[in-house]
Amino acid sequence: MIRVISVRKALLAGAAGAAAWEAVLRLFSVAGLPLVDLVQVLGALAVPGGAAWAWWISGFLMLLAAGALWATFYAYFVWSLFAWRPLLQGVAFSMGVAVLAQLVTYPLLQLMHASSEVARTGLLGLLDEVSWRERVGLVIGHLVYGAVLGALYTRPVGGATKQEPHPVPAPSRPRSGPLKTARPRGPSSFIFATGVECSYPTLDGGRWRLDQMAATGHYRHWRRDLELTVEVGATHLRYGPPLHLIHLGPDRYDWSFPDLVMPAMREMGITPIIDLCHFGLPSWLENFQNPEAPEALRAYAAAFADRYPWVRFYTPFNEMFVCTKLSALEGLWNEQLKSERAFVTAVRHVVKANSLMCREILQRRPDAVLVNSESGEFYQPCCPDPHIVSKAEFENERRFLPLDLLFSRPVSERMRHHLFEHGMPEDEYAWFMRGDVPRRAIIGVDYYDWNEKLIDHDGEAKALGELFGWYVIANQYWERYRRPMMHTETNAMDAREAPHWLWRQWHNVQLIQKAGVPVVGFTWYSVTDQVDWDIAQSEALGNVNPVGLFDLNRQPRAVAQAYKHLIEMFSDEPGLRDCQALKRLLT
Amino acid sequence: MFRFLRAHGIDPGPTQRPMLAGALAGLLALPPAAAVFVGLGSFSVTAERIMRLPAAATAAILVLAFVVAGVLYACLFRRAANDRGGGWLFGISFGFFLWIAAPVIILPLIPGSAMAAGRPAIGFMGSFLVWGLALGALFPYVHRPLQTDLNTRRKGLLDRFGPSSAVPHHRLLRRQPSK
Repeated sequence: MIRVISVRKALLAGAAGAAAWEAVLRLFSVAGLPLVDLVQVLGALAVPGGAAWAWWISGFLMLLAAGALWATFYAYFVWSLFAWRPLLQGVAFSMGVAVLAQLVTYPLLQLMHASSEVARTGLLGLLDEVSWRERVGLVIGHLVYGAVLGALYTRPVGGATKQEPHPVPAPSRPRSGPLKTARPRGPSSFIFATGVECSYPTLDGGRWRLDQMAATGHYRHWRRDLELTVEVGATHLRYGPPLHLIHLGPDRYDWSFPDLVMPAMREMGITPIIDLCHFGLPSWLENFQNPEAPEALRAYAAAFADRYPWVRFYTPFNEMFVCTKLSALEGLWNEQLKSERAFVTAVRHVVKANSLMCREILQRRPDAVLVNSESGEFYQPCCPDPHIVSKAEFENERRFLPLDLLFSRPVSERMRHHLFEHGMPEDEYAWFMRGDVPRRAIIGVDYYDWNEKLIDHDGEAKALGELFGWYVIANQYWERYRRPMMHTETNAMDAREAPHWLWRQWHNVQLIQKAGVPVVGFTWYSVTDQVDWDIAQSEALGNVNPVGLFDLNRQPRAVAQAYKHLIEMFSDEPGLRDCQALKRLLT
Repeated sequence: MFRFLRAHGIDPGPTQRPMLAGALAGLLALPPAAAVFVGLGSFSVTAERIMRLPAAATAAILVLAFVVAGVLYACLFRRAANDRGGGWLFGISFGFFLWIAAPVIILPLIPGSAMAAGRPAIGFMGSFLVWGLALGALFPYVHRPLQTDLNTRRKGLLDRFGPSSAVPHHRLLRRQPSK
């Protein structure tokens, strides 16, 4: 599968396009300018010699069916290939179909009306029999069809926030037999993790939500996804129950979906690392500019820990820096703002929420392990230009900002001034600096091909690829916080390169461990492919990113075999079978 | 386009056997298509007036052609052919393009280039569409039992996915100077 489509939307858009075709060309005919009557051509095939109403009904139904079928083809193979307005995409597609109709399909349809069983004429001979009126009619009909199709078929994934909470679909194959169980390992064995991609940011001014669990079919295939986790040999699963479908309002929760998944996960021996907030908020909380968000998230964390007291590993807030940057500085998600003030406001709320969530979890589960997963970033100035160097330095400090506040690590004079200038009250900064840092806190450094960036001559950040690598970047986080480390996310956008990338990331982990840094885990993210991450989820296009261990048909990719092999090869190695860093953390 | 598809992970996975599944699904999709083909008189016209061969020989050639077409389908759609939701669409699209390819590519190869017309022509279109629909819908279900599991280590796979895959491909391909 290369694209997630909305079959319902495609069928409706295609049928509507076909109906519009018939309406426009019938108008031409009524106005005394008959061009082409495809309904008659089709209807006469089904009801040869029938009454006008009979061929019109059957022909119209056939036209609707053909329109719907072509629209589904468009949705799978053509939609979003070009970054054009949807209407133009539809028209461009329909012009291709029009050429096909002129050259092959329409002449062949006409051949079906012949009285003989065999025609001696070739295709070129058939072409001569299509009149110029019919040719013009075919072009106009396709234009109308394409315009309607393009205008109607948009945003194939996600859903309107005003319709939330929508019911989660039932699993496709409910089973009663025993569940697959993970191979038992010691509690302090090195963490080999994967995850279920669970982002749920809103787009389009908060009106549309791109829910990755829905787009990747997890709600339907959750049981299979857990089985695949076991199959590949992973010990831990990064898992974010859908906050926007669970936390329905103050003191209102719908636990129906996690109540299905969590017990199954436990029974299968998978240790969950629970993401409580992953790039979005329930629609009633709107976005991260809302000062009520921290308190609401605190209440959610408390309710979750009460309901599932056996859960020990938590990521209270996933990638605070990425979330705040893309929501409030780059204008892609949630509040979709582009200002330093909005960014500082989002950071204040997000870090406060994280801090409050940690407290609630630890009150209920004092031995909880908090995996603070953050995007490992680095900015390289392209040249000695003081302006460029200064920008890179600032960005290199900004990447740490949420973690600095969470871990009560004073920020630089420059950053402090920036925070105060953009709306952080001094007493709030002091509140952050007085924070009680939990003992069992892990720094998770996520790393992808695009995490290292070059600040170019124009001051723009451009992805550099793997320049220094996870070892160097993670080491910077280690030197700053001196907390146990984990590689909490990685994958490769090109499926063919994934095994190559996997082994290289693993060697980075091995090297940093040899250097004496306490590393407790490694993660290939995620179990299945993801959707629209190649455009940072800035639009709901439905394009599949082949980054998963398994594709969206739940069929293994090469990297699944590579990861399974890696786990089997290394999990019993001394130092990993009994990982001292993890042991110290757990006791 | 093909590079786009490859980068999007259309290559078959390590446990998959798409060609075999394509051949089998192509064969299994034949009965409903044959019903349309024979029912609308297309078969007799093909045997007697287009190919001018005995019915058995025509049937054998057509069966072989559709098995090969099933393999071709697997080669084209690869990993995507396993999509239970979209397989029917891929299949019917493939059947449709085979149908329109016939007068453009295949028929001109036959001396005299006779084409089916009237009811047999409807039978041609219908049978290609039905065959494609059945092929695409059946493929994922035919393929599943043919696949190996993740524990099976096929020869050569470890070179491609194992520890040595950390080396970039272009370096693996470079020959060492002989001493």
